[in-house]
Amino acid sequence: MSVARAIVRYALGLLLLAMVILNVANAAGRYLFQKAIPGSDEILVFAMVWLVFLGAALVSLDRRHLGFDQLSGLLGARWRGQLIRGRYLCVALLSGYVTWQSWSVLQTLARVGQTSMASEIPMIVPHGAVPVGLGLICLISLVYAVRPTARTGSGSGVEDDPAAGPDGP
Amino acid sequence: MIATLLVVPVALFLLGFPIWVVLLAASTATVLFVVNVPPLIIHQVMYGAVDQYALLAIPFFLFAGELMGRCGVSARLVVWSQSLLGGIRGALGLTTICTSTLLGAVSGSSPATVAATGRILYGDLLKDGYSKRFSLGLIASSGSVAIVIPPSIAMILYGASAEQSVPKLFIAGILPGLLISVVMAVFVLIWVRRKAERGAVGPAGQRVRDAEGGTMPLARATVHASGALAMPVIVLMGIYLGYFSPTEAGGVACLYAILLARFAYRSLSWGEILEAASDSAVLTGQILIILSCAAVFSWLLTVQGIPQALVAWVEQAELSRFTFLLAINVLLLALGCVIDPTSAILVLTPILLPIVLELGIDPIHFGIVMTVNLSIGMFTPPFGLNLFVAQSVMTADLTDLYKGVFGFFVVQTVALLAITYLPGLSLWLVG
Repeated sequence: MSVARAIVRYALGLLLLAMVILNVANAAGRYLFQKAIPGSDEILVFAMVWLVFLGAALVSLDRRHLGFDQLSGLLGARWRGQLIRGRYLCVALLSGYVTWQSWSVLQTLARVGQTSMASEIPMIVPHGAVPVGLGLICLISLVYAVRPTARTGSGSGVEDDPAAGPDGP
Repeated sequence: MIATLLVVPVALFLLGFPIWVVLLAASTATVLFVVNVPPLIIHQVMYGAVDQYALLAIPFFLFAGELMGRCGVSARLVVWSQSLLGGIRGALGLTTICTSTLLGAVSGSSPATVAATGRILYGDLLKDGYSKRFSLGLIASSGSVAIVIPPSIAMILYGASAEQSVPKLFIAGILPGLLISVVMAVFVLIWVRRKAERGAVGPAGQRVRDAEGGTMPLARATVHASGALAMPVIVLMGIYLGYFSPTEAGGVACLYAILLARFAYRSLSWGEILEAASDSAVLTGQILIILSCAAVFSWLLTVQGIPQALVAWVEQAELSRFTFLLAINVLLLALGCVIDPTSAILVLTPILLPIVLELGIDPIHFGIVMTVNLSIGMFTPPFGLNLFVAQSVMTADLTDLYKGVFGFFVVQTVALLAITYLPGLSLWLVG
């Protein structure tokens, strides 16, 4: 899991760097040469959609989603373990259901063959980020529900809970 | 409807589910059991919420902040602040506030600001005669201004949620941010004066040393820190003068930070820059997944007529602006103790904004009031995030921190009341 995590994490880093370059190049082109890069705004937004949903999957893997978990600290080890397992199962169920719904949307988009207006990218590309990200969250949550002590390679704790990790803005 | 949109989220929240799960679960339950819409709508709204050009500013400013935080600007800003304020009694306390304000303008991250100032200044504050509790409270609370001083991720989120201009919000945040810093500085000066009478604090404060162990005259310190000081100027002036949109400014800030870190300071390798980009990307996911799910939740609230019902209730209760804003301040201060600003803004804005508009309150002003409230929540017990960062960085006792921030909480609340009831503070520069 840690190798896959590192690959996705660095891929997202590279994607963000590419987005910065495209954004600056577009702004410079517009102001210096009165010519913007065609479709660049659309590509940037689509890249961000992937950043969000794959990033959220990585946050799930690292158990660092924002939340307010005081209850598990009040429980004994046995009940705490049950609570954490129960939470992961619920997250897996929810994300699995939404992934299924998103998959239906993708099938419709593929059937219709809808493309974006400026860059003519098939719309299944940006929309695909939602089922991929939530599908990964579903799998990760299932793994943690079965093995709450699984390590991720991020060095994050083994007994911590899915809501831990106060890494906010 | 009450069960799925109120009971379910409250129950899941108390059970410790992540915020995005709380919102998505409540929304999914409402779609499945209450409203008559196809479940595909969940995907459509989730996707639509993040498919917005304006939100691109968030990963860009997060990345720029990460780079600036890692490339050693904190120490340079501390030396500059100390050179500027070194002759004043209580200089080190003022340096802490000045550095936090500048770091806020550079990184936009409240916890990162607390970590940086804590690492550099905590020891010197203790050596200089500041009490442990006061020093802890000062560092944990002064970092909160980073959320108010632009560029601010909280303001971008509010702008996206309330459909308000982000440049206007940035400009509106300048004076309130500075007011908070000034009020904090006055409090420090009064405290130092009272303590100095008892001989507890040195007359001019201990000087923070630069890397070579010497102190710097202001002119040299300004050159030394010019790279860091220039960034907020470039970003804000670029936006203010209409050269960049906030999204473009975010890209420019990233490029500037890369050039500064890699070529001017030579403090980061390309690998470390990629590391910062990867962390920023993950942080983007952590924040915007909440926005995505909050969009479904707020869409359902609107479809169910909740905000409209609240507006009608406010009309019926004949609440004045004064009373409403007071109630909002109390609510947000209380929520800020337990909820992070991202979640609070995304969940509450769609509910409160219709009432704000109904009462004739300027939405830009309200955005600043909300941001300031939630910035105070960053250091209010029991769960303000800055408290835990301070505890970790300065290996402090949580009880000392709780007691240490109390005075600063009162001071910032006074500033909050001024910002709330004097809209001109927020709107003067915008106008």
